[in-house]
Amino acid sequence: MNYFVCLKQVPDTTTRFQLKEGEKEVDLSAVKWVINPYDEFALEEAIQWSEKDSGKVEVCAVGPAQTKEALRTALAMGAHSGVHVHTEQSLDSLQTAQVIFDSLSEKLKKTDVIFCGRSAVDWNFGAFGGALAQLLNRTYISLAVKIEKKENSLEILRSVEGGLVEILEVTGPVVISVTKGINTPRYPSLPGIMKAKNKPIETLSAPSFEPHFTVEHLSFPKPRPSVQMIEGTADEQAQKLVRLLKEKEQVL
Amino acid sequence: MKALVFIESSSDYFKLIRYAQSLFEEVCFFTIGSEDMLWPDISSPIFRVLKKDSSYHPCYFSKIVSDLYDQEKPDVLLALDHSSNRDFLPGLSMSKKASFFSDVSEVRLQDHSLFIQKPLYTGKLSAQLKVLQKPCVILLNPSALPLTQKYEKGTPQIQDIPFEPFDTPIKKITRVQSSQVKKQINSAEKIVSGGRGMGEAKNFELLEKLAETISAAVGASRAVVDAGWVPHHMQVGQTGTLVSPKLYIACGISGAIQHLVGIQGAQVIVAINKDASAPIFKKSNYGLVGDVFEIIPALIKELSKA
Repeated sequence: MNYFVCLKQVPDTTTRFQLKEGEKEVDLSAVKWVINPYDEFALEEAIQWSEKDSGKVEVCAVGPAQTKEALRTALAMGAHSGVHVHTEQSLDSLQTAQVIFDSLSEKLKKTDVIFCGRSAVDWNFGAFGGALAQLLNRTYISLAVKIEKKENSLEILRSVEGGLVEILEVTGPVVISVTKGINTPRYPSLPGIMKAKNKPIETLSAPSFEPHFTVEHLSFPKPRPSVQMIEGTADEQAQKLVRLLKEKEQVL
Repeated sequence: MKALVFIESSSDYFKLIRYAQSLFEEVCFFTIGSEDMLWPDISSPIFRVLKKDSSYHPCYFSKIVSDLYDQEKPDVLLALDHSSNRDFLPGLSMSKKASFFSDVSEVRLQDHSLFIQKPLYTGKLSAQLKVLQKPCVILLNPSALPLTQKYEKGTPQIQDIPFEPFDTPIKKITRVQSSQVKKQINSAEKIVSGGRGMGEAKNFELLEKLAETISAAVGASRAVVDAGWVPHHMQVGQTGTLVSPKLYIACGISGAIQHLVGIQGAQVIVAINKDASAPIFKKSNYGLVGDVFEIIPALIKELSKA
């Protein structure tokens, strides 16, 4: 089968951000870029499926020139080919879905399963998969933690709030967004990294979009007052803490 | 500006009604499959879709909301941010050429423009956005709704809308409880959370006990979720749940940055850890250096006194 994975490149989750003057833009010049963690789960899932049925995995990412690095990493993990849709504009989930649909709709029609992550850890819109599914007229299943192939359908476990799991049986073409718990993404192996150098990455360019919004202001969360250490034996610590939480903070 | 607001009986919906009414000149509300829901005395239109139950079905919900949207032509479709609304509303936004905003902590109207506040990079930054593309779909973070006094129950005008199930590619949906969950961390007012310092999986019983004493939910750090001690839905932090309780008690959690950004919305943070140099103390209001197995029982004892 043919699998298609949509990735986003995001700042590493340990990044400490700086703002540019004017406080409307983040200074991303010194940022280390990685594949969005949820998209790594999507990629791993597609690779595992392709290993079982000798299928092909194509990865796609929309973004500036450096986005190619994310695709190269994906190829090193085991994807077979990549598409980089180049844009210097910051696009939201719906626009990204539109770009991918417009540039690759013929290819997507021939794809059996399209995977993506539940959301990206930068803007957390979480709308990409649903929007792409709508454009392709496919069924969208989000938050998958387990996908099983049945004879004429897929059985997908969705992990929703409160430890509840929904089990869906779906027929026809799908877009699936996955979340943590579905698998453990592999690290690229050395031979994988070598092989990736010769795998094809096609480059397309995205049209420009009217922005859906402007950023008016960015701010850091208010710092917490400095910590008050509570000393003494365990009993003394417990007594002091409970009194503070009840009387001063009024949270008990 | 006109808003169409999705009211769900499973949520603290009085707050959402009040919030929407305080923001928009014109509001209409709708519910799906919640016929016995109580409504306050409001004059805004209320549509009640007569689905057999309120359980989520992507195709049914899409169709219902799409029809209502076409009928009402709102500038804003407002709903709470959770797994099912995030499942079907992005596709609906796409089909209606509406912009889409989720994880929204505040909506503001000023000079007929719509402004949105939302966290970026899992809360490391907060962004104020001006919406240019209308109509738009806004998913509000449930924890962002201001507390309000409960309305008196009323008898407003309600319009019933019939609903007939139809054939869809989704042949079956079943729901199972994957694990015993007493309280959910995403909506809890108090959370007791454990990390590696709890030693092993079975010591989470001690946290359960502490949580029970103060009716808190139990959460966990990524390390212990990855170690398989507790299920992923208990994970607090960047690849888990971002929480904003009134009280967060971190037990044996050293405080990786991904965890710390996940709890920065908490009003009061208490850290208990044997390592005085653990990063969590820098982000806490109160720090207790010591053995969790002595301090937690002492806390349970102290809290049970009152």
